[in-house]
Amino acid sequence: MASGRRGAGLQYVWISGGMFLLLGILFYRAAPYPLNAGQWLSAMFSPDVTDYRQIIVHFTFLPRLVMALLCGAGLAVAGCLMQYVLRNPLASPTTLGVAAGAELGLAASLLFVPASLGIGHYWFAFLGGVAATLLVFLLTAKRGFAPLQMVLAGMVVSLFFGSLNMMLLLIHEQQLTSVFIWGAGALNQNDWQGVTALLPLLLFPAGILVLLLRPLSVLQLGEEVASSVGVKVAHLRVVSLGLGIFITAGIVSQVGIIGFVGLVAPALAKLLGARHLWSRLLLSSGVGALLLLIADLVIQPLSGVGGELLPTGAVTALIGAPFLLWLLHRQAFVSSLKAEEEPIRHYHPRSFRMLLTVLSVMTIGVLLLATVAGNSQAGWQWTVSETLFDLRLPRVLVALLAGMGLALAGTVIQRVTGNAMASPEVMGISAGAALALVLGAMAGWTVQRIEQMALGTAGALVVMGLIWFSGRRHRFAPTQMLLTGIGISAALDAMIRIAMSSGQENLKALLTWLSGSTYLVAGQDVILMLAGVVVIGGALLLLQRWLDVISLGEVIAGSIGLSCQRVRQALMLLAAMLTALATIVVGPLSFVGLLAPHMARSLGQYSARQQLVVACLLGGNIMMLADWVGRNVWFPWQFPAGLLASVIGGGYFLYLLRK
Amino acid sequence: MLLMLSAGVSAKTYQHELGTAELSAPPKKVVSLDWVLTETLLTLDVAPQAIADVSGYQEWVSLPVLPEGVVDVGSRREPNLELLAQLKPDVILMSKHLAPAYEKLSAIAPTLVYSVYSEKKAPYQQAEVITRQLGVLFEREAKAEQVIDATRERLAQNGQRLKTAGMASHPLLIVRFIGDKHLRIHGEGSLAQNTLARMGLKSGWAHETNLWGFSSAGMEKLAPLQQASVVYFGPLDEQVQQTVFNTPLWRAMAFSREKRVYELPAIWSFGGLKAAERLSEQVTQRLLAGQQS
Repeated sequence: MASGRRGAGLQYVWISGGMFLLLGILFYRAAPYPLNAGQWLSAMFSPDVTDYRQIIVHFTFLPRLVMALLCGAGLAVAGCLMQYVLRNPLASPTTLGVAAGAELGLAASLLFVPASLGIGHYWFAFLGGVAATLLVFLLTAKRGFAPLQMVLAGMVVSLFFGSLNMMLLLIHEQQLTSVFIWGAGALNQNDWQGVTALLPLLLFPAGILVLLLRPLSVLQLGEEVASSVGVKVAHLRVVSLGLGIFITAGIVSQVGIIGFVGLVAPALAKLLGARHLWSRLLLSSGVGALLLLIADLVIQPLSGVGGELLPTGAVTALIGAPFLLWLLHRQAFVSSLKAEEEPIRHYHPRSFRMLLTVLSVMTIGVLLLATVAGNSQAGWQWTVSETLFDLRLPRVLVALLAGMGLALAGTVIQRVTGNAMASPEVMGISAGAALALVLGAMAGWTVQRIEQMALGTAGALVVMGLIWFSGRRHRFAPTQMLLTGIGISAALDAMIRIAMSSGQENLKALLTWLSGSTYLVAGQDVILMLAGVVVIGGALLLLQRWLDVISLGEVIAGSIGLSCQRVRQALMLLAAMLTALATIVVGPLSFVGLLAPHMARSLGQYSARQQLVVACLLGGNIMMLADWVGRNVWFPWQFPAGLLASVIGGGYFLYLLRK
Repeated sequence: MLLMLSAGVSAKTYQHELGTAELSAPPKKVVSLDWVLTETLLTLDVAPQAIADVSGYQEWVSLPVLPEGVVDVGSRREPNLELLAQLKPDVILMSKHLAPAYEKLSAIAPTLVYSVYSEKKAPYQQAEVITRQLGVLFEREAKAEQVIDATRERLAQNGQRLKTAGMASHPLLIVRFIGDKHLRIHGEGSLAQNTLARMGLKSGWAHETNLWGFSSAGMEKLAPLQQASVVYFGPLDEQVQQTVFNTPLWRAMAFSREKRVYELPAIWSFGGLKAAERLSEQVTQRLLAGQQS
């Protein structure tokens, strides 16, 4: 025992020694000018204003590094707190809608708040972030702020706000160029104001957090125990999440979206052996601060390559993702990630047949509406000419089929992984396809539709291969698969954000496709989608028993003679194929895949067959309706179906949650 | 069907970046889906039937003035196909950045693809080429040549004026502020730099640029170049202006201390000959006015 301790101690000495050396080298490389020690000191405390090198060190280099430390530590603490309270290792500071809310607040203030008011746009970003989370709190209050409900509400609010924001971006692309840079998290500073503004926003919640540590750590023993010793669990949860949100909103409003630190740092702290809440918080903040500092030091000398900015936030995700993937191979990390989900307590089954009838009638109705009714220069028209019919029908049908396919994929993924936050997007396939296109555009390639599809397919296939390869090593265990997917998507998303922050016109042209649009679809796409949905959907219905059993857990599934690994492998492959297909045809926004399965459940469909069928019809209807609204309401402008689907589906889902 | 009918007697074949298209010359009903092409059409006195994003054009390109009654076909990224089909244009003009939609558009009307901004990274030269091509298409060859010559001459004159006034000594940094912490600096491959070169002026930015000829950077990147003068595209948000110009970093730079910072009106940074001409006019005016005060 004692020797083990000493071994561990020595290990820490090595690690911290190495860390200091690394930091020293990075610092030396990143420093903008080779100043001597005396100049450094004076640059730090009393810069010589006639020497611009000292001014740069004092007003840009140093505040930027301090900012990196503060943001890293803050996000890590927020992440740690959220993962603890929500009992989900995938929760991160942006989970509860903070980032999306802040982005919307910023964009709206840039457009609608006159500069003469003299209120910094940062404040609107902050308010937006807090407002989004308040919405999440309101929605979940009735259920006593149950973790699963909160996470879901957070994701839906994020999607909802995110798509509203994207709509603003699409209309006011030029005015909002700065939002793209903000969205990639640039740490650039021009004075110490950012630091002085952020510091109180961090210290205030940190102070309260210290007071809350005792009651909070009782939560570790479980809700029942905690309430039996007199802790008001729901109150505590709201207050501590509120603190996390406050910290995140402060940081996000100042520097933009910085991915991954809040997710990885707490996980690393756990891995490093922090057991108690206080040690986890403390260690997380240290790890987070270091991570962001290192990332920023690595990035600074590279900025300017290719004429691009390389915003730190996005690059952090880019570096953090492979790191997460590497961690996945370590048993210690794997075992610390046991699902901490709560089981459903009450079932409210409803008649499947009734619902099926209603939904089928609805599908036909929406199909007719979307094909026949359309806006035009002369106003609404309720008949359709042959030319318009030819243009319209493929879009309507592809929307229907894509919605169906994604809903099926989502149902499968959520059942197999047992994680309610899982959606086809988390597999990274959509991001893979998107990245391939973005890289193509960055290279200046002129791609027509068919080449675009080929590029998308290539990207999707590469990611599928990656997931397959790493999945095999874990016997396709659900948590690892999810994390692999999240890691890959985060890295690819980061690259897309970096690309977008460059503000190149041809990249912005991809924004509509990236939001999930039926604009480009043609007749052959309908056939492709139809074949895919019928064949794979049929296969899934045949495999419904697997889907039922697999969600009971590995032990039960194994005891009735099911090879879990094989089954997962087969099911995930089918889901991946559906996702890839839909992504290639309509673009990467596969949110229907998250919502539709949940909606099916809230409509009382629990068995695999019922959930599959109902989710599938719901998904198809949402996408068709979204596509129709997007095509007509803002005529002649159009919004991508994916965006409107988030608004419509998200709105409906929020309504369901409220009940 | 329609296409074959309209391609009846006087059909001509035109080469463009994504292939060829046949259409009767000169086409009457023109739809332009790209602002540079709209700008170029208008300099040739061709009024389009419809363009993409009318209000965006009016705000960001502004000149030449778009005539009344031009139909808006929606966003530049996804122009409304149903509306286009109903308008039945003779020809659709687009840049290759809309290439994925080429197939769809050419099913509606013959579609010609011309791009000023491409990997060639010579937008000024490209703008001249396209002005000529559009001149041929609309049988306005003489007008096209006249526009090209007049613009060249104007640029040279403006450059000469600055030189004689002794204002050509500092290199110029042509920038656009993005928020209060970042800049786009126009360099190699930008219309701004091409224009400066034609005026015989030096550009202060020699770093790597992207396809559109600009680099994104933090403000500190200007420090080593502070001997240059700074010209920024307006209009700049008042609040951003306050924040930026009051930072110690900005105030310490030579161009700010020596008051060599100039604001331009709204000029489309990714425009064509008209934008180049306006840029040169405005730069000349601002620099000369700054000298007088």
